[in-house]
Amino acid sequence: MSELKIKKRLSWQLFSKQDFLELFKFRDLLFTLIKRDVQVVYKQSVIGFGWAVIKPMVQMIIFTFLFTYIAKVQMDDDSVPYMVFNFVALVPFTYFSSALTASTSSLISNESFITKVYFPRLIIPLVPIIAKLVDFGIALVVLGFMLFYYYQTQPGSVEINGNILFLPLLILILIMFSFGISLWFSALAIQYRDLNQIVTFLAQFMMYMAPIVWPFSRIKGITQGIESWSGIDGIANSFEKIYSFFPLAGVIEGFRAALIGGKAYPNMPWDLILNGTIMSLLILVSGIYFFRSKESIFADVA
Amino acid sequence: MKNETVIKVEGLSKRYRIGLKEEMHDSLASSLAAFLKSPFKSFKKLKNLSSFNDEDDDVFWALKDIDFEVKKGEALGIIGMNGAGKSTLLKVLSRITEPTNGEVTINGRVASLLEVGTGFHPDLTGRENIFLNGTILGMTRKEINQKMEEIIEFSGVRKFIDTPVKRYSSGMRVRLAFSVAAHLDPEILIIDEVLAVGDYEFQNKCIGKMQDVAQGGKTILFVSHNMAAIKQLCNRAILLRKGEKIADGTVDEIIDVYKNNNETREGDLGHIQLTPKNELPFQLLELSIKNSNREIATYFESTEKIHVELKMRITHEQPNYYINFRVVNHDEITLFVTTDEDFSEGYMSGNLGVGDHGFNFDFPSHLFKPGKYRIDVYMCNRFNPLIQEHNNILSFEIIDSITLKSVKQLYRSEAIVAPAIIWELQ
Repeated sequence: MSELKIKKRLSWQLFSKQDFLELFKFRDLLFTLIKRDVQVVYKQSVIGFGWAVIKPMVQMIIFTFLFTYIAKVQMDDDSVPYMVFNFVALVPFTYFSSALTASTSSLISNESFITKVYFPRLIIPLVPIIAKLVDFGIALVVLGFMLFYYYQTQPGSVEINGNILFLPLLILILIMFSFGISLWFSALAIQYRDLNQIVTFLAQFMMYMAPIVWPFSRIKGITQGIESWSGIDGIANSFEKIYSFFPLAGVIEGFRAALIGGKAYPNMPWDLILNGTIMSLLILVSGIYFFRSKESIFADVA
Repeated sequence: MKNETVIKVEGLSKRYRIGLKEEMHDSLASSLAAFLKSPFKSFKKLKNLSSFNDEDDDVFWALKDIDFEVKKGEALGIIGMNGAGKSTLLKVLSRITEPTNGEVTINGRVASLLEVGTGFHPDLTGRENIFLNGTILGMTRKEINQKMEEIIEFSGVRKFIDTPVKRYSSGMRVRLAFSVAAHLDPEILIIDEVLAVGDYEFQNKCIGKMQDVAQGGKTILFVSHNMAAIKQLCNRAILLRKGEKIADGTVDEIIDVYKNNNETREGDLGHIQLTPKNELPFQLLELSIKNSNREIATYFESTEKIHVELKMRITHEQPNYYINFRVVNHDEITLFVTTDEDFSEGYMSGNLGVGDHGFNFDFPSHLFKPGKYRIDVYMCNRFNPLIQEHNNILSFEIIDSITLKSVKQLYRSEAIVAPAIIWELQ
């Protein structure tokens, strides 16, 4: 029989082997909650999982219209249609923003569990991170059809090469980053509900900050613009360096290299991916610690 | 391995912060200033929910230095008024919230049932919800699969098991939820007031199931306001008052202490003495409510008669005087009115001479539903304005102790009273 001690947890006792074992013990709960999340979203809905396709598609169509006809975005290489360029980036970003939004409010919407039952709290923000992968997978399939169509009809636009093998790695970074931020946000949101509002802004802000509607090469122009405006020499390089730590930049450029390839994206942007991985890990580990340190008060402040 | 301690609570304390007082603003300028400052204030307020830098007025101890031990196979009842800290204690024991001081050592697998149907999702079917609820309570999918048939059988909602739970009646939901909980098979079971729901038949089934659990050498911690259920299920009890443990003993002892110790309740003593006012011609002097042993009390079992003693003073004779005595329930519904009318010609008070007089009468037993009641007394003069009005002069609480099935059912219906009516076959 195992002995369990309940007392105030000290800050250095944040994660023990026992906590990991416990997390493993509750894997069935994680699985059931994920199943619930996936099932419930599309219950009593006519189109059902079709929505997972429609949402990013509509956005892609709007962006294509907006950025090719109204505000023309200068592309590096005209061989890649804007639609493809944009959709390849929108699919991972849609996953990120929907997972982040759902995960931030997850503790609040599952308040009844938190105040009534014990289980490792980390499960709650993790559920949407995994559940949204289903939508992501469906969108990826649609993306696959689109790429195949262009590959067949417009030679030279999409030329998938061996880099596609790195796709799982990119997805892993994307998940780590999404989960890391979500841990910070969900733990804060249960006490400060303002986070629910902030996260909407933040998702929108990140959408334009990430190279989704504009090609990554434009970052040079932007940072140089900042340099000439501020008059500080070399600030462009520092900004570029800082930007390279933005995980979504690496993930999105990586997606393009892995899925579009060709002469527009011949190589994987390894420097971006490396920095993005470092940043994601940092956010994830700090997020786990922050979440764990806040965990004990969830039931009291909810 | 009897006599083995499975739960050991030592010096357990839990501190909470209650909401800060809102400030009032009487001018546009001050409310505007407050509006501008409010984000900082709200931030401080929200932050203070989890930090305790100074011992303010709004910090309160939900639990203070609690010590007790529970041996294997014991069924411990936890008794106390609302706000005594019972639920907080269970929350700490089931690891939902962390104690501020002290520690608890638990040996064995704990299942806590602080609410029936936690995690039920209305859009999922009964079967899907069994998985959801079961895994939340700590079962594995394998265990649930093994017990699925038993759970469905016990719940009695087999016909609807593949229907979304939102189409269930609330009773069906409770049945299903309790069935899941009843099949948890833990070594230590913590239960909070879950029997307050569900119909009588199912409730009995639940108590029966819990008794089986208790007899199977499992340890039970049980919180309820239903003293009959505690008597039925537990062999030991502790009494909490304002976060402190004030008594520990057999169930009967503790229920006695709970009922009779006036100190356990504040403000609602079973007795009041009023200062006489010379200008009043007809006034109330004293009122007390007593139990069957003629002791002043404010807690009564539902099977008990409540004895009322009343003293009043007449300084001017008047044939139209009468006393109007009423009992009002929690929802402001007057249960009944009684006057001194029927027992002589006109009113009794009207026929009495100058001086102090006393009345006494009994409320019948087996009448009240469990809950809080208040007493209003009006000193009246017929066709004239009230002479004296005493609203909420005393209050009392009825504790459930009845075992009659039909009455139990009344407790959960919208009926206002629950008289015990015995049918005889002719």
